[in-house]
Amino acid sequence: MIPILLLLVPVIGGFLAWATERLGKTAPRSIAAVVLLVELALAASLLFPGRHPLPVTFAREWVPRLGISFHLALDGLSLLFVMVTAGIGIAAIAAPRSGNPRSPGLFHANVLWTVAGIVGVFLAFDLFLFYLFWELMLIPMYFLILLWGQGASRAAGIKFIIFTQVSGLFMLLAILALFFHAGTTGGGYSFDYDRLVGRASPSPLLFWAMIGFFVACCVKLGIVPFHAWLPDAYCTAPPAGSILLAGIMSKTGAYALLRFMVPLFGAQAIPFERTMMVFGVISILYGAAVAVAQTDLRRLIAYSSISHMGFVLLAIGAWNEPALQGAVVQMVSHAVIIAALFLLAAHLELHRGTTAMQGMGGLWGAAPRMGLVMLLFALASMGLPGLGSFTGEFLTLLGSFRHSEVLAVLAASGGILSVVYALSMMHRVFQGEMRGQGIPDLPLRAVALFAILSACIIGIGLYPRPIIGGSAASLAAVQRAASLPADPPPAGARP
Amino acid sequence: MTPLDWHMLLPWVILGAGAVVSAPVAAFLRNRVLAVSIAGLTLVATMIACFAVAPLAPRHVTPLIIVDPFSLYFVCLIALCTLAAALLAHDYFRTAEPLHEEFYAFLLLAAFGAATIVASAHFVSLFVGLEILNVSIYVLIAWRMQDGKGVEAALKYLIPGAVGGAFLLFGIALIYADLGTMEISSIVSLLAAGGGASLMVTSGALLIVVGLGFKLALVPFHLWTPDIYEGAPVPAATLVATVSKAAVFALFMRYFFPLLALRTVAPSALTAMAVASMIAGNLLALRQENLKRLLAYSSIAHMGYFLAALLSGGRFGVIAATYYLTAYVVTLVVAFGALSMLSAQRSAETIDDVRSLFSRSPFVAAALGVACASLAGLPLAAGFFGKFYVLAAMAAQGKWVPAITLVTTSGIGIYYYFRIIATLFERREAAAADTSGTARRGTSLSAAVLTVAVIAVIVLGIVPGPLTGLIARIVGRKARIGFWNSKIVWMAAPLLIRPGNVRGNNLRGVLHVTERYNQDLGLTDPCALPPPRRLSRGNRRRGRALRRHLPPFAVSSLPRRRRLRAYRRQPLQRGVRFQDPYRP
Repeated sequence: MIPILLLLVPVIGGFLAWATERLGKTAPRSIAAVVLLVELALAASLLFPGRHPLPVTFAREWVPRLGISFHLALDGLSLLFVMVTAGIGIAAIAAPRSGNPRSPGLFHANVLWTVAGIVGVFLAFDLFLFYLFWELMLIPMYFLILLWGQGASRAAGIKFIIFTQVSGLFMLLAILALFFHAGTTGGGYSFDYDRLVGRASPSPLLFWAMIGFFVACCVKLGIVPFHAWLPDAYCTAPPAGSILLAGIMSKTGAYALLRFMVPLFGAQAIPFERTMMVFGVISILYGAAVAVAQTDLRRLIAYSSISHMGFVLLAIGAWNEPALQGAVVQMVSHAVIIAALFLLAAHLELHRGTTAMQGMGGLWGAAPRMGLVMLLFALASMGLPGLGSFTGEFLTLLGSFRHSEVLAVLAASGGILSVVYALSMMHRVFQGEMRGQGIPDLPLRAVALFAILSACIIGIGLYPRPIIGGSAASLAAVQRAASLPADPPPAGARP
Repeated sequence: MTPLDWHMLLPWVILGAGAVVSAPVAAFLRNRVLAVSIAGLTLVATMIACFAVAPLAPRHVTPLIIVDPFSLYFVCLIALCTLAAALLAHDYFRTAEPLHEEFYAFLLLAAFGAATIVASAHFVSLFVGLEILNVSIYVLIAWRMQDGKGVEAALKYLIPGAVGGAFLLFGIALIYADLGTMEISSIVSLLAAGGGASLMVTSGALLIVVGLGFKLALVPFHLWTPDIYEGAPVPAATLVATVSKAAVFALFMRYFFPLLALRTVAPSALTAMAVASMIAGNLLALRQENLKRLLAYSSIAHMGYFLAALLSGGRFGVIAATYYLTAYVVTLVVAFGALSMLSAQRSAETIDDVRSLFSRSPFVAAALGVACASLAGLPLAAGFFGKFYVLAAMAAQGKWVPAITLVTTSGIGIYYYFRIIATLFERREAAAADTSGTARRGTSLSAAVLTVAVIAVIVLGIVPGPLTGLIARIVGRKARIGFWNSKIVWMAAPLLIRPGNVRGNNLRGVLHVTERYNQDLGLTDPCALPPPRRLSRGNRRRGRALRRHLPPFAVSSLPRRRRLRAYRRQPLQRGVRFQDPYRP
């Protein structure tokens, strides 16, 4: 029952938040916070394997004619990401709303529905259901960008929805190709993950299908040739929207690669690994280089996110144990870092009205607490040892070095650029001569939130074992699934 | 005509009687409420009659009409859409037009024509139904005579309609001249028996496709659509967009698909038509400022999707196309219902008229938003599963070119549908307090239609299973269209058709046997069937042997003069087309 509860709680909570709008301006935010805390607690209750040992599943028939079932399951990896989703969701609703104050109830409802869609992606074990949630989470996010965004939010929203929808349809074609391939080679017609794993045999059709799947994932991740929507969406969305987009929605792309693409297209995906790594390295270098040149804080953060997601793709391409562990740690720590950075940008914007860095400088004197937090997360962003992203990047480089020395070296050199942009961000906003008027420091509630986020990032850096250990069984399972030999078609089967 | 035949015709009889009764009632009593109630009751009674008749289906009533679950399903769909149009018309004409009681009579007449088309088993009933539908639609479009746009639209519909009708008639004539029959199932059987079509039949079928292409607004024949949608009164446009398209498409599915499978018309030409419709429809809709024109162009694109689904073949293709058609029709009822509620004295047409509608009339804006989401194929709306089924049907047969075209062009579609959504939800400027495009008062019937249709769209988007199950049963029970694509039918057809069988509904007999073949071979999955093959030499020989048993006028290889002579000499006998000359 817990998987379905995890889905229903934010959906119903969204309606509740919408309905309580008339009680007061702050009521929806409190409702949303309570709902997300309940979600987090529900997920955390599975950490103690008592009555519910992992994996927990929930399966019902949905459209039996086509082999579509409502199959949700929670294993270590899903559980980890569901918890991250709930946590980042809390950070998102804690962000100050500098945009227009229209309808707080609908705003929080959309945040909660986005969370529900993302949780659905992490829980779905039926490919059709997965695709459904993959598309579903875009719609409330589109409305967040459209209705509460700043600047050219309408154009950014359209760009976002066209990129993600069209790539989603390519993913659907890939899923259908796999479905019919499995059906005609005697595996039975089913969209169920467990029945589709290991059914792909080498064929040009499935190779192109895999490319479609890969492109859909890359669009979500913001990998370089497919990233055109990303900076605009991140910069025009309301702070809560950018935190959700960068913090967790981008992780669904990596999760889909890890859980679905490589295991399902095992026979094709193994030779494709090198290409994936190349795409990852290009993203690392390009994202970091463009980030260096940015003058707007939010755009800088957006491009740094592209660079960090490149590391995740590199790790998934390397596809060995340390690399995959690195990918998971990198995803979690990047979620925390990017959420904190966007929160800081939102605080800056609240008081200065803009995040352009030209008019800023020397704010440390006015807001030392904010400066300290920014310093910590800037250091985390450039991968300082002892902080979360260092663990992720180190494991990634370790794994990919085994695969290809050249690519690993190139990826590591991206680290130099990340130092440049992280320090220049710090320098241009907080150091130097004081420019413009000062800003009030972080309020106490925000300090508490940042304390939790800092504790997370330091905790992951110093003691990543819970994350690695928790996801180890799932990672081993996907690795096993990807290396399954493709079944030869049974004798007498029709071609 | 036995009493059972009359019973089977009940839905058609009720519909026709309703049209006949409502015309004098409207003319003499001039009571608006009475007129709309007669129309509503007739349509509801038609639907009930469909359910009453269904257990006895399928049955041929005269050679003209076939009453089977497939036609009953479409009659129900047509009645529902007409009902929606009638209820919308009641509110739409409340202020604009004092005299509109006859509007309902013409609505019923159009529904009757459409119902005849979906049940036609013969070119005569097909043509008569099509003309009844066309003529009533001309009148409905030109209803506001003082409005130049309406008359212009009617003219623009009249000319392509007449040209399309002429093409259709000429195609029918060519086929009749070659095969000597107008019964569609006999034509299909004859073609199957002969192993292929002569040049005459091919050109006839091509002309019929052109004629129906005009009705469906497929790409080279689409130019009339936007003007009709724009100029007609909204309820009439609803009828054109839903009822006439659904009826012609049902016909397409039922008969022309088997004809295509027999290669009278190159399938690649039709695929090209479908692909061109998708591309042109979506591209032309991109820059439209007028909502009705936008819907018109998007309907062209959707016709392309349906055609592509159908061409992908297999029973699954038919199920997918039928499902998508149903979802599309319901969605269009929502869209036009919202537009009808919005059009006050000054009609609400452009995108600017619906700017920040959500803050003025949230219900109508939400309905229009749901319609756009469904047309764009977003999840939790009916169009999502429609698009999914269509793509699945294409993937099942490996038709990747139309599938990828669909994916990329629907990206274009997302732009203009989301443009509408974004406009609907735009923030209201403080100064913009004008009431243009606000829903009028006294639109409770429209609101009811809209509510029901929105609920239907959402329910179809969440649980499509029951409807697809129903469609699958319907498609299964009637002639199994999709199986014409299969190798087994191609192999077996010459063996199975005995001259004595070649009349009436023998198609079903043939297909019943093929189904058994399929079961024997363990081929229960329709998706797994291979694409059509050429007949082997042995089967072609068997075809020739069979031809010897056919009456001479039906054999296309004989000289025309001999065939005509044989045809004139045959004894006139009612209901029997081909007689076995060797039977005592």
